[in-house]
Amino acid sequence: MIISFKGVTKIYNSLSGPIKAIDNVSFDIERGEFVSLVGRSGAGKTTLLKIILGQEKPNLGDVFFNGEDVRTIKSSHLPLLRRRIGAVFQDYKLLQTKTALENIVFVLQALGIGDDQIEKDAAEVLNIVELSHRNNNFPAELSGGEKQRLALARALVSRPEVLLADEPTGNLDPYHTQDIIRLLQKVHQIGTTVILATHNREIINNLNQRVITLEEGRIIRDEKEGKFII
Amino acid sequence: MTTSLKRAFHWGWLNLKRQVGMAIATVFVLVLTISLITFLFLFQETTRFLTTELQERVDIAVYFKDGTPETEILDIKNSITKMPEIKKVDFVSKEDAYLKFSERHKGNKAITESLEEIGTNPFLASLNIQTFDASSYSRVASSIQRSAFYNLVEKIDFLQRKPVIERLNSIVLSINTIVIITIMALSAVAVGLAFNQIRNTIYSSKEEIEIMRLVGVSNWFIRGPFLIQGIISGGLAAFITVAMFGVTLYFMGPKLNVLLPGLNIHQFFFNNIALVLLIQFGAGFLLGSISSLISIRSYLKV
Ligand SMILES: Nc1ncnc2c1ncn2[C@@H]1O[C@H](COP(=O)(O)OP(=O)(O)O)[C@@H](O)[C@H]1O
Ligand SMILES: [Mg+2]
Repeated sequence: MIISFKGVTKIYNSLSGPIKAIDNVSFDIERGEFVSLVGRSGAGKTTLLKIILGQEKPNLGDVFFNGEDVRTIKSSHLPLLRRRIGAVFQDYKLLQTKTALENIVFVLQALGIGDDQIEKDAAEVLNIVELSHRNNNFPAELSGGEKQRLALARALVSRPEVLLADEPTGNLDPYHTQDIIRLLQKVHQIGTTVILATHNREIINNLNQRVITLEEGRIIRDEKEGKFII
Repeated sequence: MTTSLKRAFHWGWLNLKRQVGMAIATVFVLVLTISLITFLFLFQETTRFLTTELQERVDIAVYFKDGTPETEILDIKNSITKMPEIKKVDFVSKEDAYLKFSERHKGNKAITESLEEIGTNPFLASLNIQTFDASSYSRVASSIQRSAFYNLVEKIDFLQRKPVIERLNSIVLSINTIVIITIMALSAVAVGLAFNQIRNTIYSSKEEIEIMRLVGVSNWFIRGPFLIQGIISGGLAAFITVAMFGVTLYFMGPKLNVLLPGLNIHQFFFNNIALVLLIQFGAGFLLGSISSLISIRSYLKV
């Protein structure tokens, strides 16, 4: 078991009062699983992923990553946890002042990887997501699909055990959507645990993988070969 | 590890270059601060020199009439030395006095020329007497006046060194106080400027920092470049100060000797160069890293 939620509740304090984004949620994810997280906008998908990454702390309940309690993790330990997780963010979080290649290189440099290794890994991952011809373009010069692939490349370049993908097909046409999904399946096949948050019906119904359905912060369905039912 | 350190230096340097104006202002104030600290260090040597110079001055000088035989004066020296209040008696011959005077005023043309004009040696042989205690001056003086050899004595000079030393000490104390207060004020300004500059960099690197956090870059690596940014400012300032003092003292030092003959500040500076470097770079690094640490603690919380 790589990820485990036990009675997790997350409440945001907003100006108009507290918002219960995650409400008493429990589930386990095994190593190597491909799990889709579905639900309407505002159901709590992003919040759930943020809790896994230690970006948000739950108010109640426990979250375990490989048996380690993420909630009480020491701040000096959090980076080590995050290095084992790759994340594709809903808003990409690409650096606008850096080219596609530099966006990847920057992360590897900050992680203390040697220059030779960086050159090799960056070229390889950009090749995998088929962006090599865009190496020297800035994010503003990339299409939506290319930005998504760049974000995916950055998440994958440090060879994470778990890949979190938050609406990675958010505003893509069906053709590019299939592209991304194929990449996620490829990553899954080499043994990576994939957690995909989406509200795209087609994707889910064709995947034939586990689906966890969220509604107002609660799990209303958790099925082995689930379909998209909201 | 070395790769990370290299990158931290590289990024720290880039951060500085992003705000050249701020960086220059910060380094300028740091240079002022370190210069004053160096001045304070050199000033202590000046004070030490002046104090020993004063203390070494004779308490009582007994001048003998022209023509008094040296052997007789040396006999008198022996009898004075036997008195319990006496610390030291030095005999200064006519020739010694002449040499000492011309040595002391070597650079002064007017004096050396007028000395040559006289043609003869105008100085008197003397005994320079130091007592253990300033209070025994008058006792020693009166016993000389009552002695058998008093008819050979031309005159007796007293040197009131105590009040002079006290005055000097109080002046030195006020100068030290003023300089230290200025150093503290300038340090605060320097730290404030460096802090502000690092805070700006942290703000403008917000996205980079967020992404580094999310991909699991360690806290100290994120902080590294900002810490090094401060240390580079401090080191740069120290380097400039060292160069400034080094060049100035190297060329001006010999000229400064004329002001206080015997005090060789530039030699003191270069003889103690290791300590000087330690003080200057120590101050630079300390101020630089203090400002970095304050801004990191306030704006890069984990
Ligand atoms: N930082 C926040 N502050 C306050 N409320 C938030 C914050 N983030 C999310 N929420 C609220 O929490 C709920 C769940 O949001 P989110 O996890 O983003 O849902 P989803 O990703 O499924 O669209 C929503 O009602 C949203 O408005
Ligand atoms: Mg979302």
